[in-house]
Amino acid sequence: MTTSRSAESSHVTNTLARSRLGTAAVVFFVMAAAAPLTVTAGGATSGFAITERTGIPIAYLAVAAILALFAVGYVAMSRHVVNAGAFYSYVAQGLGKPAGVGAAFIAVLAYNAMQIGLYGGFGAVLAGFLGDRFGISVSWWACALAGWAIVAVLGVLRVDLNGRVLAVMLLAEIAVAALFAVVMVANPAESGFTFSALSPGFLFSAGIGAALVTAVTGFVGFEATVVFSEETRDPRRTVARATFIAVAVTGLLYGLSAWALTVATGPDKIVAAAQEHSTELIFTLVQPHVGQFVVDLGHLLFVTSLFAALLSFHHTVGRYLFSLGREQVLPAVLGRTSRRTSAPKAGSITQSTLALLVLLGFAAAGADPIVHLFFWVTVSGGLGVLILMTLTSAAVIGYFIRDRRGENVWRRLAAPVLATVALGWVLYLTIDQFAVLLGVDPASPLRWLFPASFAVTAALGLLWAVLLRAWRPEVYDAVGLGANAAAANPFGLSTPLVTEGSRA
Amino acid sequence: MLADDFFRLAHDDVTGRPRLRPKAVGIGCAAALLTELVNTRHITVADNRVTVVNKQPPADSLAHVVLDQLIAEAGREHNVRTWLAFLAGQAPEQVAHRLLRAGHVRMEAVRRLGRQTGVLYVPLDMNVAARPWALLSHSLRRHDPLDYESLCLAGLALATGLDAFLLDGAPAATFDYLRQAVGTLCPPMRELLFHTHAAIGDAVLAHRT
Repeated sequence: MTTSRSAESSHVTNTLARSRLGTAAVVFFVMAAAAPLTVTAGGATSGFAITERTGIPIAYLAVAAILALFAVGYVAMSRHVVNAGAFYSYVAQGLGKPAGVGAAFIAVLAYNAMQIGLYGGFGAVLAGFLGDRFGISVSWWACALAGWAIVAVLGVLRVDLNGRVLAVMLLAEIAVAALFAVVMVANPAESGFTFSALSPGFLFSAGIGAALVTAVTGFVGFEATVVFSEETRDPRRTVARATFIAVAVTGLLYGLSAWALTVATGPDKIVAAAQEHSTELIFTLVQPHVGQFVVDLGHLLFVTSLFAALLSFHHTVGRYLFSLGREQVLPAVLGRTSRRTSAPKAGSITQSTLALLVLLGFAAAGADPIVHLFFWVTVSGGLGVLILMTLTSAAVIGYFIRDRRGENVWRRLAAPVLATVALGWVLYLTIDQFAVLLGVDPASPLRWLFPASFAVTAALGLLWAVLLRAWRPEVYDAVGLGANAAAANPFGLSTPLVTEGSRA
Repeated sequence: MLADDFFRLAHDDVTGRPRLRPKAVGIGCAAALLTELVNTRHITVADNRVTVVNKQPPADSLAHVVLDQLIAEAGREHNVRTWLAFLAGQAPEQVAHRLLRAGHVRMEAVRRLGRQTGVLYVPLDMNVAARPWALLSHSLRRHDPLDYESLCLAGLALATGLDAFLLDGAPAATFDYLRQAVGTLCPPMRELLFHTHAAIGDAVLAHRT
């Protein structure tokens, strides 16, 4: 093994290093996917309105802390596994292959839910904006379908938004969100300036699980830093630093912005205000103080931020389906890519088809785009990602128990154990209080429907793993090994190759 | 030369436009250059390492350049994926310039909105340029036995995803024949192609603009 340090004077290493990513680039890639304005203007306000909990701001900060803890072990393990972009390969290598296939199925469902749910927000916000500012009356689903068509085409062509465009949009979003927060804090409600929504006491109050999973949903996307681990200048440090920066910046932004909302309305009135104005709340609150131009800019960035998130999650699903198709856990056709553009064609089309069916279903049923599609479906996706993170955190412990691989006790044991306990606690609270999260009666069958869908998916995954072991042992053996899996490669040798990882 | 044939296969025989995404062209050309050295018994590939077994200068100047690079860093024990990634950055241009020196292609500027954004290597004789594709496609479709060089080229095509173009519209049995045929390649070649295929697959996952 050559380390980057000993190879400093190597022409090969230096040439390769020149095209690699630094910390800032990785942070931009993942934060743009997390789309800050989507969360501060859409997620937080819907969270207040639907869960009727005032503790959302402190929930964002608490979740940021838990995720930072989770990231310690996660990033440590990412240095040792191939196919580092996918949660299921961690689970397969840490908790066993059946659990890995189960996790893979959960991941496909969860990221699809995240992506499809966002169409509700995109459609409703765009329709509202067009109606208010231009007097064009279109239904939310028409806007959502227009967004869907663009994402479907860009997905097959593999057009990512240009990195520089994303960076500018991201900085503008952060600036607008921060400006709005400052304006709201500077103009508190009659009840006066108060920190009460940041009181840690909320973390132990009833119904906090709903607030916590809302917060988790806002962070989904940060885990993508490890996808770039092979492309960074210094894999040992760049990815870790980028992950922590992304979690810290988004956590502070979300927490303070949600807190600013409670200051501007008064903590006792935030729920009523959010229910009245929905995703317009933040704009309504700042409008008297900043003028129409900034509010329009904010609206526009809200729409583009939703779109960036849509495209990013579309690519995430495509990537998962590609990985699974390549390992032949799912039909091998999903592992096909477009020759000229390298788009995971089949995976992209599958995702788009599914999204279209769900969108048409919601439109036909006359469901509310913000409550039923945007909030319910994305937080269910957030629940799925929470399950995945809990499993992954446990997998990190399992992985390093067998072999320490030179990681210290904090990274391989202490932090993962703490993170697993914390994530497990959040998961328990969430499922226990899912009725609060959906804003439905505790006796409603809906409260079990969403969590049960993940349980059924996981069970199907386990069953599929057992069948694979019986029917296609060579595929089963390769689960979670990515490109180095012999089954995934037409040149796979009958004797195993030395595959100590491509970043050796 | 094998890398010349791969370059022709990977580019349109009339316009010179790539048939593959740039990253795959790069990794494919890098693998083709290494294949030339494997075939002249200058290097071998085993246990995820590229090992120089003969330091005698090869007849071809480009092969000489690549071999020198391999010799210079032999002590660092880079794995196959590192070599592919390193060579991929320069290989397409190097192979194109070999074709240019031999008088097979001419350079043409690519302009976008009035600015030169790249270079195309347009074949001077489309019959020569289309020859590797025509011969290989024809033999594979007829399930003819392939000679060693063609087999290596077929392996490179399969590893880079050019098989879909090469065997466009052929029945599944022909694809199976291709897979079965490249399975008979010697272990160093199969290991090189294994890593080529994996590198191109991973490039899909870590895609960025």
